[in-house]
Amino acid sequence: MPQAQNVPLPDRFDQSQLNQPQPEQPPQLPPQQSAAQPWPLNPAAAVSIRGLFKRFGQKIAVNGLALDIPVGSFYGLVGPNGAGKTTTLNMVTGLLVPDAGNAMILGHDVWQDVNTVKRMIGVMPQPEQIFDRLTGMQLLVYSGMLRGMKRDESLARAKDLLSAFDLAQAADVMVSDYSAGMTKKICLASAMIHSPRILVLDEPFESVDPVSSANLKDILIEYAHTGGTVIISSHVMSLVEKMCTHVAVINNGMVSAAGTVEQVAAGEDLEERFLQLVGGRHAAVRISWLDGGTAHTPDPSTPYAANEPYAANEPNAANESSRQ
Amino acid sequence: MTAVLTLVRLRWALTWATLKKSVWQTVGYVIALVIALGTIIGAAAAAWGVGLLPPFVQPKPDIAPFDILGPSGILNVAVVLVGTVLTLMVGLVQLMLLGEGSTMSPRKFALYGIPDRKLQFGLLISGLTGLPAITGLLSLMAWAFAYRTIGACAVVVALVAAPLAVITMMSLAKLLIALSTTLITSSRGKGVFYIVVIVLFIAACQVPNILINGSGASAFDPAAAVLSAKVAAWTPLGAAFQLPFDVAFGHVGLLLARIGVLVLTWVACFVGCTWCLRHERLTTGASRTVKTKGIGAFGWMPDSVSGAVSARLLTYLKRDPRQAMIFVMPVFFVIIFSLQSHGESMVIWQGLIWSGWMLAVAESNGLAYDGQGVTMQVIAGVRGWDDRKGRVRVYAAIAIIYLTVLAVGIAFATGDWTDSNRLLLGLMIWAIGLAEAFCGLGLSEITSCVFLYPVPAMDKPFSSPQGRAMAQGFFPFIYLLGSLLLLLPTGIVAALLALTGAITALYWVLIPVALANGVGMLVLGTWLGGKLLDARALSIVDTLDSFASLQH
Repeated sequence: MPQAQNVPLPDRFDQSQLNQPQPEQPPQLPPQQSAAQPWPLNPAAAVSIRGLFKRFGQKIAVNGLALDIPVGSFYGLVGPNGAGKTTTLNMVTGLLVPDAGNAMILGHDVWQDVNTVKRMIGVMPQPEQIFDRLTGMQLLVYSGMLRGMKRDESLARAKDLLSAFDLAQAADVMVSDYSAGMTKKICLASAMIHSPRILVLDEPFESVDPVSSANLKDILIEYAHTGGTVIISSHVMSLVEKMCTHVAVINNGMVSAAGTVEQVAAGEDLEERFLQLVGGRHAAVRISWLDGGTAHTPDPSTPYAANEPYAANEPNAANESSRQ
Repeated sequence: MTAVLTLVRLRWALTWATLKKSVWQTVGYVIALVIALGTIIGAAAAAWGVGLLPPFVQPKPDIAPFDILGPSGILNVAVVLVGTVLTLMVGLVQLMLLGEGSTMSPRKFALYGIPDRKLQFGLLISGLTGLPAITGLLSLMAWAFAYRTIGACAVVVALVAAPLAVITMMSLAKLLIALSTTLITSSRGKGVFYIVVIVLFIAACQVPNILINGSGASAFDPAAAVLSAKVAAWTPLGAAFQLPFDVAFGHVGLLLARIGVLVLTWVACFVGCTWCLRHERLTTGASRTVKTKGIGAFGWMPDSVSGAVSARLLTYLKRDPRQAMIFVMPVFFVIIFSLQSHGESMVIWQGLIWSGWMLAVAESNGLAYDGQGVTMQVIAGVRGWDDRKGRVRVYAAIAIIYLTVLAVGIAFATGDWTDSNRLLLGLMIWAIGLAEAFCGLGLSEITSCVFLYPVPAMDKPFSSPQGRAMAQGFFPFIYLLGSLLLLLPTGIVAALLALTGAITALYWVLIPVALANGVGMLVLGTWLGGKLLDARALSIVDTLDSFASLQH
């Protein structure tokens, strides 16, 4: 078991920096990589995480991660696939028990009274995590009532949300009949119906059309302006750069850099900076048979199935394949 | 032909891959092999025994001898009728257990651009090389030796008829599956279809029982059986089973005509399946959407967290064919028992106890039926007690209303409402049925948090998720046996009354005792289930995620 409780804070990782954009300074280093003073949880932050650790079998998904997310920020968590973003969000929102570490939301320890914390935040469910045989309207009313809201208020808010998300026409249609984009929107609406102080969204714009996406962004930005905190995880760097006030780059279950977008970008394009931080990019690979031509294309009149490599029709094809 | 052979190889490659991946699958397959071997040996033994029968049997000198081996004799009629039912059952079982969830579903080959006819032929042949088809073939071939006393030709033709029968069964089953998946596109249509198939299946299983117990063995009409067999022998379901008799009795013309019926059936099935493939490819995603006005149960359930859970559950029960099935069963039980009652109304009344016992069987695995949607409740921080209370409200209300309506119906239908003693007796059975439903429901609120097993996806109620058979065979017994045990207090009071000889005068005492017993267990189960759900919510979500991956 790793020693992950209250990871020491490096001297240069000053909490106050998070709330005061300082574009000229370099991005903050991950605290767990430097051992000095213990770094207590910050009750003033929207989310405060220290030494969060999670292992799945032999794979360490989150490795002593520490982070503070300021109240009122639009915070982006970025990282390559398998970096630990979703696992971190799940542990912070009480959906996954960490092996070690602490998380605090608006001054409340997540794991001391997990249900209270859950009612304070709005977590966007994934499309497969909702009851899609309910209509859009029913799903929103259900979501509101689950949070202890009265029926009439849930109904009124559901109508507002459906209009805001351009779903009014589909209010009485079962969610299972929605398109992927519509489903994403209803998932987001279900996380917002109780007007939470913190919204946690995992890949919210995936498969949402540009028009709906723009409307969603407007709603989220407006929400952040009113004092709400938005935490999103995303692969889309341009989106993070455009919408977020803060960003944390997560790689191998640790924070590679965190701070305001300007701090992390350090004067460069955020995507370039991200690639530098996470590494792994290599020169283009050329596969000899992947030539876009017809030289090795199998005869369409002799179909083959999944377990029969088409090399059977091209005896030398396998030998010809090589990395150059 | 290459594509066809590839599909056959693919089928076995997939089987081996599954066996390598899971020990439980290997154990399951070994059990299947033992059953298959047992079936073949059983068929051979039966054939040996039947082959020893004399042509005629005369049980008493004063009645005409029974024709066993002759044209339209007992053997002929029985074989054709049993074969017909067997073919029908193979189709229904395939539809229920494999259906569109099968690994070799044509949809999975859509990407490869294989021509429809080749794909269909390949899938048919790969189906014929499977363990069930081989078992069927070998069993029917072993059965051929039952005809040794009616002629060598009959044996030879029976050996040839065996593959013909298997091909017919497979073709009909494939057509049934193809039609069910292609033509029924709306969720509601699929739900209704599922219920109809299951009820048909259970009814088909009950037919012999009803025939024998229904109105007495004397009502069995041999002439009607002979006529039925003659008709069945001209249908695709029974034609293959008549072939050995045709040749034995020199009806070569009839033999050829019946082979013609079979070939026509195969062609029709093949064309039908190919049409379905094409139709499905051209109309993918064109399912109808249904609009529902208002918020339904959310509008009138209690205005609370548990009310939201109740409204959601009730809405789902109406839209989920897998669970709606359970609510058809009580009526079905009463009908079956009334057909077998011989005028004794208490036989019908006892259907209420069976109904109560079965009513919460789906709820005993309720969270698995809800699937990953449960995550929504976990995200919202719903307390276990609220969830359990919400669920119990719905099921308890259904049990009370359903059993009461059935009881009133039975009282009027049997005429027991005119006799106060019989009415009180009926009321006692109603109370025991309701108590049993409450005990089952209380236990369900616990088992659904602990003993979850995979269920088919709601979209594909006929599919069979991997690893289902093993666990599912065991876990429902916890509910079935446990809910009976929970009724033990009532049983003890009944036993005491019986031992003291007071039961005939005081049997009505069981009414309040049973109801108190049921309500007590229900409250206890709900409370304990709530505690368990609070403690296990995250691991339940994890389990449901893993179940969801089995459904794809």
